[in-house]
Amino acid sequence: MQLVKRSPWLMGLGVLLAGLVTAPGARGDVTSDESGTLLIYPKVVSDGVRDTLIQMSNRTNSVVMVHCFYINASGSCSATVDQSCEIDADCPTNETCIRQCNATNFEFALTAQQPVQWRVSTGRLTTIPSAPCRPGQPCQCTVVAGQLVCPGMLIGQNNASFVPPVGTDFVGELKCYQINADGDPFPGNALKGTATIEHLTTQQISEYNALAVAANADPGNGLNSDRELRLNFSGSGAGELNYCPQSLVFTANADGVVDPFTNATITTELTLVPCSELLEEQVPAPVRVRFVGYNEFEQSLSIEAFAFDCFLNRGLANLPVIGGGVFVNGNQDLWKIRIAPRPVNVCYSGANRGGSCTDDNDCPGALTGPAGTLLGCLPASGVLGVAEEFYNGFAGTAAFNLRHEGSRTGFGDIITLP
Amino acid sequence: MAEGLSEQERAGTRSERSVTMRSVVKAAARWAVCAAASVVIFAGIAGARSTTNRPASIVVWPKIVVDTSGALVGTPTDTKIMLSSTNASGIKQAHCFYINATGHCSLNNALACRSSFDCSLRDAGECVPSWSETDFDVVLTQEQPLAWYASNGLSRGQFPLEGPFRCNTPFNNLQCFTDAQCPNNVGCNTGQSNLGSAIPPAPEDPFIGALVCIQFTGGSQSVPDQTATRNRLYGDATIVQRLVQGAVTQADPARYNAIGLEASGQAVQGGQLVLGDGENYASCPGVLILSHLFDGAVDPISNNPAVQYGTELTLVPCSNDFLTQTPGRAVAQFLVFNEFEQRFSTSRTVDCLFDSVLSRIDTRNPNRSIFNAGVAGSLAGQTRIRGVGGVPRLGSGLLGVARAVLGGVAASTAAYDLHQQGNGRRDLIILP
Repeated sequence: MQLVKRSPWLMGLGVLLAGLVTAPGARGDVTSDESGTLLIYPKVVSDGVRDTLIQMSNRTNSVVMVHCFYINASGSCSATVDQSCEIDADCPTNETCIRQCNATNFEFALTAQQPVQWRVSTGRLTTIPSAPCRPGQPCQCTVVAGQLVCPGMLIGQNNASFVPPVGTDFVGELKCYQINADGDPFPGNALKGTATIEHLTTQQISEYNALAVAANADPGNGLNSDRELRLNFSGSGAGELNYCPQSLVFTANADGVVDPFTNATITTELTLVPCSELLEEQVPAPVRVRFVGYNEFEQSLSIEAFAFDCFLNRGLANLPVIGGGVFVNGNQDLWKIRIAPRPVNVCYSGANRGGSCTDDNDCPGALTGPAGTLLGCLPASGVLGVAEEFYNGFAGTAAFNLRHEGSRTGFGDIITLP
Repeated sequence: MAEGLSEQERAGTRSERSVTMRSVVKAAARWAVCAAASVVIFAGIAGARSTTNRPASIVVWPKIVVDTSGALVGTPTDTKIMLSSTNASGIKQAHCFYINATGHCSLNNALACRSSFDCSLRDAGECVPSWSETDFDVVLTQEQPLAWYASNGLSRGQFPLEGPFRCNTPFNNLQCFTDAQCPNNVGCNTGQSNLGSAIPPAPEDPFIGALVCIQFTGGSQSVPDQTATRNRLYGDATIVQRLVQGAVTQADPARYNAIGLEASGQAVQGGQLVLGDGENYASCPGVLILSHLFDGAVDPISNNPAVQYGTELTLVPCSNDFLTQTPGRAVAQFLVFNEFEQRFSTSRTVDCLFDSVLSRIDTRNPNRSIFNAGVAGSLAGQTRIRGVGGVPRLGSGLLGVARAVLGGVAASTAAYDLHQQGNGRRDLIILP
């Protein structure tokens, strides 16, 4: 009994020491090389030409539960509905680009240090047991009723099929967050992941690390269960999840440049997703960003007030408009591009959704979030992203994570949960 | 459980249970208090560690491969290196070190090797490891990106901004490179330029090694930069394979972010760059975490048994003594987890640079490796890597990068950065 009385303190001391050893940095950053509570895969493709393999793992020695949602970001023009689009400029005059941005939810559990993988188009069943692989035999998944069954623990939650299939008409993102037994967000900072995009014919692969957002575990001032995830933590004090970065920066070969080693023509595709997401309201988050590029000759070009909803997946040759790219071969060989959210307020919902505003009165009919936050006139969403290079189209591909500079301040960003 | 007990005994049992329950609740509460305290405390005191997301003052590319004929790696390969400055105003100088870790076979010194396996394939004996460094300077103008192939480097005439410039007025019709070339001491208006830069080609071909660049202040009294505009560099590497299939040449790129170590602002003393909490630079990670499919796992997307995954892992020590040409050294401990929550472990020495497919880390027979999918039992794995031991004074921190290889019709590769957890102990880079 004495041992029982002492052990909690010893255990607590152990946790304290473990914390000292394994503490995440005190900075409030979004990272792609650390674990977090919110995990974002900005680019998930299953379009019949390419498919994506998701890997996720638990870096702790405790069981963790995970809630995920795929966000299908396919878009079409408001009147010419057969025409796909990403921004209004992709559509005929006087039409707008309507993004679906609808979410599909699922849950699963990860045991201590456990890794899992699944193919996005088929999903993965865990309600059917699958024996471990054996030495000398092929180690592979089987397809049952259109879904993969793979060797591994049965980790489906609530008799769910673990991961639903998205089919072959999907381009969008995957967001996952750690939950507790009640299904509420839990600041365990245990999740990390990678995504591999594979061409179905050439088997060319691109791999990037998912973006992790660490949560504030302070019970009084940290992540709570009010169904609003706020990205407003700077690493100390109050706040729920780390702020998104102030700006993103990456270096790219100018679109269309010819690689001297292989003679391949290099193009680059940039994928951006908003840090804010209105999942409960099923309303696309409006984004306003500015691109500034610097080439190796110290020359600078910029794209001001670029607007999109929910998701952007676009070649540099098509920034800002299709065929009118500025970060292209004719303007030198190399571009360092900085992307920053515009310092403006926009209406997140209501009749003027996406419009500029100075206060909530400019956003009539604005909705209210699950915890009462008025989704009216708020700072334009932060952005996160990933880029992918193509050598002669899909013949050679390589994805990479973008660099982050600084942190947002003030309101930050908001994700409303269903 | 209480069957056959008297009411008093049952009451006693209930009471005991109640006491036990209260103890458990109290224990849980104490545990929670300690846990919460630890969260609050360690959030405040933890120092920074290496990053692949932010610009920094030390930039490390753990894997640079040059093999333009394919003699070593089988496919003609080169590495495109990018180095960029985020400094909004003024030049930044990078002092860089190519670390040549190319080994040579004992029975044929002309043959390059990464391990004895490479030599045994050609009956050339054992692989004799070697380590040497070549250093050079790169001057970057404000916000400038720069790129070069490791096989070629960049020499005079190949840098974007190196003149000729114009003399100051009234002689601005005259070209110049230095003040001495302009009349009446008006000076040469060089502005910001890459003058002073020279990037040598990789010291041999085939070459496997690493690159380390350290941000310096520039000028005649150049020292490691701990000024307010420190942490302004970041780098990328694309390992490009040239695949020839009949008359068609294809490219297979694998790109990763170079690893950054941020400067703290604390001046460097005696050319010794200390990496660690409260030191000159951020700490190396305590643990590296690699997500991977086990070697030999059938690609879940094609589900074709002929298309299987493999993963190459490259590790380099955080520490290096460039003054006495003593490479960093550590023992990498690997803890491997599969999808069944089962754990395996092994270890290998990292001497200067370690580069291997996973299933050759613990054995020469990949089919019997703990990194083989058939042995591991599942497709996906998570491997935790910790450096221990090390050269006295230098430290045992490790940095690394992984490259997934999907073998099929033609091998396809994708490089990615490792995850990290916790801060490592003190590491040291000693400058020549």
